[in-house]
Amino acid sequence: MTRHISRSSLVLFLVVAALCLPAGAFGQDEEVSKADRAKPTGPTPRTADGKPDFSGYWGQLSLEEYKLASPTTSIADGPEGGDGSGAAFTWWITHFEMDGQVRGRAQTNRPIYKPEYWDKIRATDWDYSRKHDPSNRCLPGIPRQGLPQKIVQTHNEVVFLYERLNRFRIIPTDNRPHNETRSQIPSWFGDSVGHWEGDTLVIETIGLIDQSWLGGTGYIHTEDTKVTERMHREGNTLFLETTVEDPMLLQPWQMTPVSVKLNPDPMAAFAEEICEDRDSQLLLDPKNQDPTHQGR
Amino acid sequence: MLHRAVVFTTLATLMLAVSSGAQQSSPSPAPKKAAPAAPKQTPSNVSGIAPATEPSTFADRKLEIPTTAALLKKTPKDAVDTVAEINGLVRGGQRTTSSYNVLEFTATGTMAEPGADGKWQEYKISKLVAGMDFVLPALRFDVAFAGPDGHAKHQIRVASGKQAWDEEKPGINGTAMPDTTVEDRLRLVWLTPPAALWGALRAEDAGDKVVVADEGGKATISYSMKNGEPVKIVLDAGMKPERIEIQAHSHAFGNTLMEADCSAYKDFEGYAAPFPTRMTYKAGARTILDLNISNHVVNPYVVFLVPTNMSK
Repeated sequence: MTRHISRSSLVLFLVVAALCLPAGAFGQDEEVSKADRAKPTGPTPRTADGKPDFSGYWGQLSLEEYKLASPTTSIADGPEGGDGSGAAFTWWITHFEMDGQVRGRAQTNRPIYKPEYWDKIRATDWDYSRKHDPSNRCLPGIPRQGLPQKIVQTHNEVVFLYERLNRFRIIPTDNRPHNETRSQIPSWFGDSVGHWEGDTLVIETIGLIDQSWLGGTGYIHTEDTKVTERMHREGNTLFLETTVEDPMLLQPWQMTPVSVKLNPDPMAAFAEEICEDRDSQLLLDPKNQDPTHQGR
Repeated sequence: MLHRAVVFTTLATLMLAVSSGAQQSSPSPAPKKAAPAAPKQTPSNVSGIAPATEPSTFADRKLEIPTTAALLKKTPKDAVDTVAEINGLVRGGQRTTSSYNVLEFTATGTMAEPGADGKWQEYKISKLVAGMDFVLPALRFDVAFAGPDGHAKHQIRVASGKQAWDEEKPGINGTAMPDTTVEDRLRLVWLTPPAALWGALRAEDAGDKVVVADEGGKATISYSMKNGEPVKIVLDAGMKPERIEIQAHSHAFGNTLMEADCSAYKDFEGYAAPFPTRMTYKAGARTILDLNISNHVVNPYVVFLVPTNMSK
C-alpha cells in the first residue's frame, strides 16, 4: 500500500507521523484515559427528532497534520537528530519500524481465544502477519476500521466516512433487521444495522468475511463473528465501545473504549488516499530481510 | 532506497490512520513516559513542527552505552530509563515504557527441585517454554524434563495474579495449586532481565525509592517489589543485567537470596530487545535452573486465563 508522494513529502510525512504517534500507536491508539474521558466540553447537539447529532468531522485529519510541519524539515537534521546522511535516515527509519512492531503487540486487552486456537493465533501473528495482514493489502475490516473521521446523519441512517483509504459505511438506524443477502454473503464490511438505545447508537455487524482480522496481530475470526459498536456523544467528544463475539473466542472481547474530539475546523477536508498493493512484500521482517527487494 | 523508504511510509500511514481513528485494542497500565527535561531547540525543530506533548527524541534513540560513572551522574530516574532503553523497554518518539509487557523464551538445560522426601533431585530439561506477563503478573512454565530414572515428564506450571495452577495442556484442564506457590512461581518472572527492569521503571513511576549505585565498578539498580522484597540488578559494561538478586521470603526455599546470572545477550528477533542466551537461577547457593536459551519473543500471544474446568 502506498501513498504517491515525493521524497521530501515522505520525509515530512514521517516526521509528522512520528510526532503524532500516540503513546501506544498500533496498540492503544485512541485509548482515552479516565481523566480525558471526563472532559468533553460544550453541549451535545441534537437532530430534529431529538437524537444526539453525530454529524461532523472527527479527529485530526491528514491534511492538518501535513500543515503542522515545516516543508524544510528533514528526517536527518530534524528533531530526531542525525548528521543528514542516508545512514542516519536509515538508522532512524529502521528503529521507527522496530518500535512499531514491538508496540503493536504490546496489548494487555487481547481477545481471549479458546486454548485450541492459541498456537494458530501465534503462528498467524509471528510467522505471517508482517506480510499477510489483510490491511497490508489494503483490505478493510470491522472492527479494525474504528472510529470514522466524518459522519453524516439523517433520521434513518448514518454514513461513516473514513479518511484512511477513503472508505465508507452506510448504516440504517431504523431498527430494521439484517439484510438477508448481505448478511449471508460474507464481505469485508459485513452487514451493519443500527438502532438507538436512548442516546446511544448501537450498531450490529454480521456477515464478515473470515479473511479479515480483528487486529493487526493475527486475530483471525470466523464468518460467525458479530461485532457490536455502541457509540455516543458527549459535547464535543464521540465515544465508541466495541464488543466482538465469535465461536473461536472463549468470551466476548470488549475492546478498549476509544474516543475522538470533534474537529472544529470549518475547512476540514479529507486527503485523497489511494491504496495500491505493491509494497507489502517489502515490510521489514528483521528475521527475513531480503536485500534484493531494496531499490526495486 | 526510495522504495525502501516508501515501504516505511506504509507503516507511518498505518500509524497515522490508527492514531486518527482506527482501533486495534488494548489498555495499558501506564502508557506515558515522563518527558525528558526539555525539547531540543534546534533551528530545524523550532520552525514549523507543532510541539508534541512530549519531545520527539529520536536522536536519543541513537543509544550510547554510558560508563558506570556516567550513569551515576544521571538522576535515578534518567539512569533507569537509560538502562531500560538499552534493553528495549523504552520505545518510540514518546519513549513509551509500556510497550514491552510480555515475553516468552525457549530453553534447554537442567533444573533442581526438592522431591517429596525433601531430597534435591536434578532433572534434564529437554524443552522449556516460559511465558511471562509483567503486568498481570503471570508465568507459564511449560517444561519437558527427565529425572535420573530417565522417565520423561511434562508439566505446565502457571501463576497469574493471586492464583496458581497446573495445566495438562496450555490453558486446558487446570489443577489448582496452593496460594503459597504463587509468589515462588512469579519470582522467576522478576528474576528475568526485562521484567526486573520493568519493575524498576514501575518503581520509579510509583515514586518508590530506586537507588543507582556503583559496586566495584559495576552499576546497580535497587528497588523493592510490591511485596516488599528487595531487588538488585547488577549491570555489565554494556548496561545489561548480568545478575539479578531478590532477597526472597520463599515458601519453597525459605528466607534466601535468589538470583539469576545472565550472560551472552542476543537480539533474537532483531527488535533491539536483547535477551540472555545463558541464565542460571539460584536459590541460595543451589542452582535451580541452568538454561541455554534458544529463542526469545517480545509480546507474543500468551494469555493466562484460569482454565474453564477450574472456573466452573
